[in-house]
Amino acid sequence: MTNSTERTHVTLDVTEKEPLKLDWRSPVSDESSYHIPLQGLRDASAKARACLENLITKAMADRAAQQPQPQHPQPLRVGLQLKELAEAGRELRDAIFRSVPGIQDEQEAYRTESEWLPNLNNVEIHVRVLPAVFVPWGLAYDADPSELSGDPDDIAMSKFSEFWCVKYHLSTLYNRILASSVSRPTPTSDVKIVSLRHRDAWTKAFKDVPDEEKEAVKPLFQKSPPICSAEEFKDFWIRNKKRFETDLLYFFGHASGAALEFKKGDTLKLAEFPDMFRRRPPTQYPACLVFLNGCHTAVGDDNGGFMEATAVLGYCGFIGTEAKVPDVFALRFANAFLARLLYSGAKVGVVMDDLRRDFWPLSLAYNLSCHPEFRFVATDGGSAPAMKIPDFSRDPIGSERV
Amino acid sequence: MTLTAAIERTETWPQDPYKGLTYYGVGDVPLFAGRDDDITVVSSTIGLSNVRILLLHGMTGCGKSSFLRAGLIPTLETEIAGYKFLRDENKVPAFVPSTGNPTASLARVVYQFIAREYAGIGRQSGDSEKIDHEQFLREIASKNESDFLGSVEEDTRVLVRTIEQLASYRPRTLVLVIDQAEEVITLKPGPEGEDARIQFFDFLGDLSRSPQDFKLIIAFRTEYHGQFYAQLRYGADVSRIADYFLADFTREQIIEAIVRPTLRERKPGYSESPYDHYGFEYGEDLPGQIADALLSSGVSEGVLPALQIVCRRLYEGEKAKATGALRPNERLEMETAGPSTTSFDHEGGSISPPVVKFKIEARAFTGLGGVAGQVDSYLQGELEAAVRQLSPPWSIRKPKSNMKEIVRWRKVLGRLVKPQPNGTFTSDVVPVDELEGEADRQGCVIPPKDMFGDLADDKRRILRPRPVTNLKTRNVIPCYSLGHDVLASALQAWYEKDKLERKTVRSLRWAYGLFAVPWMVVWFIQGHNLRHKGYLVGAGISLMLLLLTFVPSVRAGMVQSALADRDTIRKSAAHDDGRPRQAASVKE
Repeated sequence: MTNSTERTHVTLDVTEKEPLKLDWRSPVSDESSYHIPLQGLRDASAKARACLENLITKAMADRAAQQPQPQHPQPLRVGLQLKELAEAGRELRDAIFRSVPGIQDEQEAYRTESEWLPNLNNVEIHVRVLPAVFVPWGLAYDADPSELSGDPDDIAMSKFSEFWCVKYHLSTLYNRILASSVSRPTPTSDVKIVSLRHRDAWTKAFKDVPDEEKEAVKPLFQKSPPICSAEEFKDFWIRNKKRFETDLLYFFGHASGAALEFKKGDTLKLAEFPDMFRRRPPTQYPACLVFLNGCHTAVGDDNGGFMEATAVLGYCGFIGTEAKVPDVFALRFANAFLARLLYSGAKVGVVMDDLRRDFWPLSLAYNLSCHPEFRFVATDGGSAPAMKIPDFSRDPIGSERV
Repeated sequence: MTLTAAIERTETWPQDPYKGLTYYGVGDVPLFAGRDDDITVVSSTIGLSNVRILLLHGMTGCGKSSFLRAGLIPTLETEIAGYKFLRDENKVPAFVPSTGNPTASLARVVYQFIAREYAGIGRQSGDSEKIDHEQFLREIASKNESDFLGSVEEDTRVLVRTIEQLASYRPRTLVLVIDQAEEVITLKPGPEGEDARIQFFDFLGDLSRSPQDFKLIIAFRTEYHGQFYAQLRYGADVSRIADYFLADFTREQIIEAIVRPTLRERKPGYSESPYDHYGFEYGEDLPGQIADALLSSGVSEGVLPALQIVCRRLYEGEKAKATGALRPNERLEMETAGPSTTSFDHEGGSISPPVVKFKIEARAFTGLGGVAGQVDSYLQGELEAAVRQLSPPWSIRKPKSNMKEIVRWRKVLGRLVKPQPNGTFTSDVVPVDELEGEADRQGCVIPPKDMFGDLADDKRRILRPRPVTNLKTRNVIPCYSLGHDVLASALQAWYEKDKLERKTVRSLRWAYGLFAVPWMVVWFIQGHNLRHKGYLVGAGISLMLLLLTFVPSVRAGMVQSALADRDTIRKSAAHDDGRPRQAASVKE
């Protein structure tokens, strides 16, 4: 597991709408505050997401063209796409420090970029976004991307350690959640998982999951049967409205930034979320974590997104995706995530750091939009069930996207 | 270090384990108990980006001020971080006193903050071509207060824009608090308060639609929630207004608050446990008994003030007994060390001062004599202490004259009691000079300025200074209100009781008069006819007794008449006898 000690915690509060106000704060330093234009950040975000999409498309196309054999592994040849993503990430990073014109803002933005942040060691950044602005903060890139080779085979994670999600163990959260709501973790034996599925997508992807992994994740979903339609979920919600004691809400299926699809024509729309996710005070501890394992679930749109719905009272945010993800890869990423989170007792931020490494480079598609200190208490000796780390130079990543 | 890690430092426990009628402040956070769920919900609500205004309401005595000061503010500023409350001149979060014109009060506090922070600060950069974001605030700082208040009076959007600028160019999310906002309705319920009310709710409407990131918390009594919403829905964006009802304590919460200073676990950052510091504990089941007594007492002003007073009196009484039982040298050591100081040994470690240990048993609680009258007993105790402290030396040994002085001051404080249409009593805000005039009329011996100063001291908090800003005249009028609305109820109850007693005495006097006059006449005639001195002496004594009996009544009648005349002139509500006029309005 990644060593999480001795980190310097930095909080970036993003407030107001236009221009955005960025407040940087750390317990070991003074504060920094400046404004940036929203449009510049939006444009850079869109470009970074497009590059991420290219990277995944290339990986899927390569894999469709050549099925690797166990004796002839074929690493994903996406070095060039990673370099392009780094270039877009650099533009995103520049947009974060490009202030609106004016003495105070320019001085503060420059100070933050050139002195404040570089002077802190082993930084962990927690971004708290208040207006509904969806930015792939983790794809911002600190170094000069022209130094990257662009060689298709040059995809080692160590070469790309300047992505913020790697360098700064970044997490994003809508709203400002009281840490005490995640500081009373549920023991693994008591964890209640509600699993929502697109049945066809899940069945298809599950076929390509190794048997040992299938066995390992089976106990996770034994307590309650999966819910496979929006109507069924609404019924479940109404039945459990008074005492919604779910610790983890997990969705696997087709999705967009504003809807979850259970099957063709059966969707749960963004407008329904505020009612579906509402929990009555007094809040039941601990807060519920949501994992939305579908395409673009972290992207949102002008009307909002899952960030707001999963940051209301009783929730601590969600894990979503910044791009369209291949189905088998997505399912195996989630299996590994759930197993490690439940059985290791590690914080969700630490689990994501580990998965970022083990599922590199496609792991860049996942966004940690929740409180990074959320965790469960491991009650079975603290070890995850035997589950091999996938080797995507051999294993299938999937032929369809979720 | 974790996200939630506080800066490591050694904290000291507050001096008193219970606060009496004083609210919990930032320094009392470790003693503040029972509101964890409320803090979670409110901080989550206020964190939503669309929320601009939070209406925090609860019954009187539910602890709104303490909840804000010792619960929500430390959580938002320190634990969650990202928020910064507007500061007053003492660098503590400013609680804007509503008064009848909260817009003016807020404008004044905002102006003073800007004047402190931006006055005399020129442009920081030599580049004069560039935009200066803080120029707007510097221009306000360069005005005088009166001009700024005048521009707010003309157009409250000036205040909205000022708050927006302040919020935008200060780090973190700016939070402002208006306290006791029901005063915008209660102090001048009639047409004379309508202008200020309309102005305030129009201002809130503009504020609710602001795109900037800031929060305004408005604390008020829950009885006025309906009126607030009715006013707000006309002009405000109600989707940006959240509200939260702060409920009274449950039995479990009461017990949690009672036992908090007796816990033996050390809190992180503290060198000793509460028990080690305060040195007392409760007998088995006593906290539960106190909680049950509080809940069944029917105190209408919320159980918290009664809880604080009961526990404080128990603690002080038992501590005095325990300290009295010590040997003189032990007592001297205790007194020298003091309750809240911490000394250090030669290695730099802290050594707790000697603390007398004692246990509060159930009999001490039963000895207090019920929960219902505790607020009045507390008031009486504080008045006695103030009178003892401030009386001229010659009167110290005259308990009777001190009692009379206390009664006179109770009547002066009665000026601050305001009856509400719903049958409750709240505190009024009355100019100092009117209160001084009342003290003169009541014949108070202690100089009013001294007495007001003493009663407004934080250790007593019977009075609260409440300067009232008049936007039209641009003047600030020094005023006082009662320290807590429960005092209004206690004073009213005392007044009712006193009125009943006086009525009874008057009846007895009349009965005595009816009985004595015929006898006096008979004795006088008999004495005159029989030339017997004994009858004449009897008649004389009866006459003297009769005069002594009726003169106070006559005097009281004269006072009543004078008060009635004055009240008629002022055309405001008045009571029907010797009690001072209630609901004296602040003349603006």
